[in-house]
Amino acid sequence: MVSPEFQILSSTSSIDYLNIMEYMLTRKPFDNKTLIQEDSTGTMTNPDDEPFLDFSDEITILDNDGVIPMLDRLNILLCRGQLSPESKSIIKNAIDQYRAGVVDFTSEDAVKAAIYLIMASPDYMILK
Amino acid sequence: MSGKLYERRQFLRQLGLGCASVGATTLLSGITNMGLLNAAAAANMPYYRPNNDYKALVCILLSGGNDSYNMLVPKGDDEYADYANIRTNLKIEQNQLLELNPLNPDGKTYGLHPSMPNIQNMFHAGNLAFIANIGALVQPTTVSSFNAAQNLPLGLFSHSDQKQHWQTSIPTDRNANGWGGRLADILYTGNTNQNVSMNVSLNGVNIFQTGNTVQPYSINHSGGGSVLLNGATSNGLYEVLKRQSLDSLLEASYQNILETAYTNTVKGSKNNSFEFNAAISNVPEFTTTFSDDTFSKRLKMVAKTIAARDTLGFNRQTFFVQLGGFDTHDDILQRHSDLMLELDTALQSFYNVLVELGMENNVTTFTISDFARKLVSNGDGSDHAWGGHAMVMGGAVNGQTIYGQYPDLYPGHSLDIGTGRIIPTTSCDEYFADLALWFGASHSDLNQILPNINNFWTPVAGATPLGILS
Repeated sequence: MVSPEFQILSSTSSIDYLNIMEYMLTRKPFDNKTLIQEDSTGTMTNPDDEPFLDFSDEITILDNDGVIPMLDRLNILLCRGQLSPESKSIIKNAIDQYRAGVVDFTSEDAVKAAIYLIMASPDYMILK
Repeated sequence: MSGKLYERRQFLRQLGLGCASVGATTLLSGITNMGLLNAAAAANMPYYRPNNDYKALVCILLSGGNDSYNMLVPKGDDEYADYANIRTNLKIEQNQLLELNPLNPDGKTYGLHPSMPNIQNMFHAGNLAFIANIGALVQPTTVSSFNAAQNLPLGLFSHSDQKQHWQTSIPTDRNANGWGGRLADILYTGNTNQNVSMNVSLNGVNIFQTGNTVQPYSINHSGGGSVLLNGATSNGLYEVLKRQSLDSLLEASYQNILETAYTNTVKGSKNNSFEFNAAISNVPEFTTTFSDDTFSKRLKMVAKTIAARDTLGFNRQTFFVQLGGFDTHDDILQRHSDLMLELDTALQSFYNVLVELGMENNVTTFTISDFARKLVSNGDGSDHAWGGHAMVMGGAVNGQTIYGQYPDLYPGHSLDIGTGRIIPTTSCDEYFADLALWFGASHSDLNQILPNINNFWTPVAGATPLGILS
């Protein structure tokens, strides 16, 4: 094997990973369970107040400065600056096309799509 | 170091196989693209095609170490007395054992675990056999050579080592690949389909199916087997652009070999899953029913894959399925009984569905396990031992027979290395050679598939070590 991690990279786990990352990004991935009563151990989910991933910083950069500065920030946060120029260009191109063509595509959607593609890229997957 | 590099390069090269001929067909959307894929595959079809008939080997790993001395028990009064004496509180009562009357010339009777009535029936119908006291061996071994630590398998009594040896059949090497992988390395070119591996795993990446060239193709027991990318069949602009962008990222060339290995795996999985799912989804529902447990569901998916063999373009396949929970250090009688029942029920359903498909003579199912467990109780369970019994099922099996030698069970006999740990008298090489030769390997191929076979058997044309299959 190439490295121990590849023992769990299979035809199912590789696609599962992409699907789970997309799910985590596009939905509210966490339940907010609150006690039914103060003194009880039972909990109920509270769908009106679920934790969510906060992308407001990235959205602000995207809105104020554009796609490339937003990708530069994600590059530092996710890839330790190792996102290749080729990958960055592919992802920028994707975001531009989404924004031009997909109906109701918000800045938040653009940030999530960028994170998804970065996390699918080998630049993110292989730590160097 | 150089040997290691070579292995890595071979591994990387083979990863490219999974998608080489479909690299251009990136935007697949379901069954409509099957024609395109098949055309790509056909253009790649090798000249050499050894067999047009279909054959499959189904490897079932009973993970954790099956207490097989309670699965197959001597039932004659004298032999049973030895069994009962050494097993004490772990024994199964003589009158509860299901009687087995093998065709073996010694005329001895045996008992089967009471949770295995279906196995009993299949045994007497001639479709199932046992291999007694089999295990990982480097060469024939005695108590004195064991005590002198001469040529023993690495890590005796250790789960990880023994489980690995059963899958590699090279117990002197912790880095060896699997004998099912080496078998496939030789035979895979006979399949029309060169996109999806002929080694299909229901339990993820495993050693058994990992060869130098061939790697396992991992599927799930539900749906169409393969995992599809979310929105894979959608023509919505978002999904189309997403697939295009992913393809661009995965098709780019990367300098780093790990990056290349990653992109090849994802790319191959993403593209091949369409073909696989479409073929599985077209298999009509079986009339045979399966239980609801995961192991049964996995065997059902194996059967669906076999049913889709022509669509997928396979005439040789191996399958890997695991049933876990056999490491019964405590509560052994109940836990082992539950596992025997689960195995019995699932194997009967699997055999039935193969009959339904008319494939019972083309599919041979065999069990492997880390090791047997000590005959001597630890109070509530039993600990790790060595030689144990394996089971092989199929229409091609010369059944109702116990192959190998069932050992004596009294303490201190000539194979006993203490506390009821018994030195195997049949090597798993011999068992696997029977299976490999039936599957289509030649006698000369055995040197590559099972390099230690010559320590136990000298290949003779027209013969196999044990004669299990015909």
